[in-house]
Amino acid sequence: MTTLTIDSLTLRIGQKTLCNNLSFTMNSHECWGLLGKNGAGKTTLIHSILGLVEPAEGSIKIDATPIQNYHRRELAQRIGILFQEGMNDFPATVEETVLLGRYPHAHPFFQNSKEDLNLVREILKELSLDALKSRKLATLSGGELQRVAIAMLFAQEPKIFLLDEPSNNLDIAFQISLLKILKERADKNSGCMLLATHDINLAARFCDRLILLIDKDEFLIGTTQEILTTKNLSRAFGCEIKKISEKNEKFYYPK
Amino acid sequence: MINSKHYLLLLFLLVLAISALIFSLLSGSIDIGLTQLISLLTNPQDALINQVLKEIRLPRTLAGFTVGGLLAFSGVIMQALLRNPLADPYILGVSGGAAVGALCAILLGLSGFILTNFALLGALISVLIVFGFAHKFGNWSVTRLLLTGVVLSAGWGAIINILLATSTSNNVQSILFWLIGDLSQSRVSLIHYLLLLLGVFGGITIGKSLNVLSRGDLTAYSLGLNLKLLKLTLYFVASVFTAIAVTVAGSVGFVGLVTPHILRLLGARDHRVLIPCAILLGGSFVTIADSLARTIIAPQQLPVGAVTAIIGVPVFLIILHANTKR
Repeated sequence: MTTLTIDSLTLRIGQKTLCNNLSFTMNSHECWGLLGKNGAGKTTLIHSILGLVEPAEGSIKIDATPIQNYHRRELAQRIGILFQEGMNDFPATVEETVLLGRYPHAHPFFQNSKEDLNLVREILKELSLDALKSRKLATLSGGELQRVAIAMLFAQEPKIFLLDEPSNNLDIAFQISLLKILKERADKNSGCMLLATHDINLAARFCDRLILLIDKDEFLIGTTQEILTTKNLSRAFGCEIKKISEKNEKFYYPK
Repeated sequence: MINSKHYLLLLFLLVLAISALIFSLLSGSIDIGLTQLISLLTNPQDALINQVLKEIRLPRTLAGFTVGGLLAFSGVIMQALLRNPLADPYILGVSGGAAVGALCAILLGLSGFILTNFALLGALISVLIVFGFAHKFGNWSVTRLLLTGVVLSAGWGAIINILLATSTSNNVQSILFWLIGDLSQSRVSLIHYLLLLLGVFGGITIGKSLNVLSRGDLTAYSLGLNLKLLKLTLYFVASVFTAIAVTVAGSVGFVGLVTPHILRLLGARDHRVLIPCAILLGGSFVTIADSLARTIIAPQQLPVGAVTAIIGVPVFLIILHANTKR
């Protein structure tokens, strides 16, 4: 079991305050959404959980231990983030890249362990990357690259999955399947997932609980059903937001 | 990932290195054959040949190999640190600082040991300036480091030009050889070999971390790398290695840039393999280039830096072309 506890957290970037006095607790098998408009502080909050941004006040704890008390490598065994950065600077194959995900678990000796190699092989199979494993990253499409990034995150085996706008530049079908496999994996590892996005409908579809960032001092935390009202959303996004319902599905759109 | 292909590559490079060393010992104005070389090792009967080998060719050969190894090592590190395939050991201004130090010494009429120390001092001043500026702004942004280094290099270049333009002409030839890279006066000692050995073992040890670092700061950070400490260490190690190589043989160009690329194209992408391979290939490259430099238009000698570029450019282009076709 894993818990992520954010306690009276205040973040500051220069003179600007983001999330004043935010508190919430995320448990295993939960999927949380972090919703808000551009500049509301979603990425900053994600980075502070990673340890990249120091909180101005308050604390971030994993299993009741403040994150700064963990060694960097130990932290990386617990938290993983999905992104696509700098994949293409030097030539590298798919398999090599996915294997990098094992870095926080392995001792930095000359050879990779058999277990690591086997795990990576399984993950490649699971994500249908088997046929691509010897291909160079530079020859892959955007969707394939995203799959490699997911495979790397799976190899890292974190408990807490952080996703910062994971669906940017992806087609709708792929957005859905991507979040599905990530959520399943987090569940299988008895972990949890925090999804930062400005896509209301994606959050509505996948998240059990939501944090809606409205202003630096104002945010709403609750179940998806409680938070997703047109009134709350209109305030948070600064434009009128409408809803259509069909059977059990709801769709939100700006007027 | 390391597989049997990588061990084969290492073995091949080891054979290449030994062949390069022997080739260098056999090249020069006095003809020495392979059989003569072997018999000399066991039974030094010919005093002249023995003296030529022991006092001229062997030290020069070892100096060439060491300089090549140090530069190739620094090249790999700088490229991983700056995440830029165009980076070479000199990109952050180390060679410029060393050259200015050496030029000042030459113009002051100094030579030998003092000149070497002047060059080392210049290089270290350069390292400290870049580090001071890049560090002052808190985080170690790659762009800032690169810009500071490139601008400083330009500054050193300007000082070199001023020194050259105002110097009395009889020194210009020796200064030029210094700027291009020349092994004719070079000697290395135990400390250089130890550094090279440190490079091999240090490289293998931190190779995995370098693999992660070269994928970008955020990836490296989220995979648990201590970025600040690693970057600082790499920058200092690569700079000191470069500074020492430059004080031995001047700014021998192209080795540090091209060696890591050739090896990556040959499949050595993992730094745990790339670093030992680079040291072997860099060393062999400079050793062969220097053997040619002193024989092609004998009795006249060429600066080794010119030969490394003349060989390196076509070799690199051919390998690059062959690789993109596949």
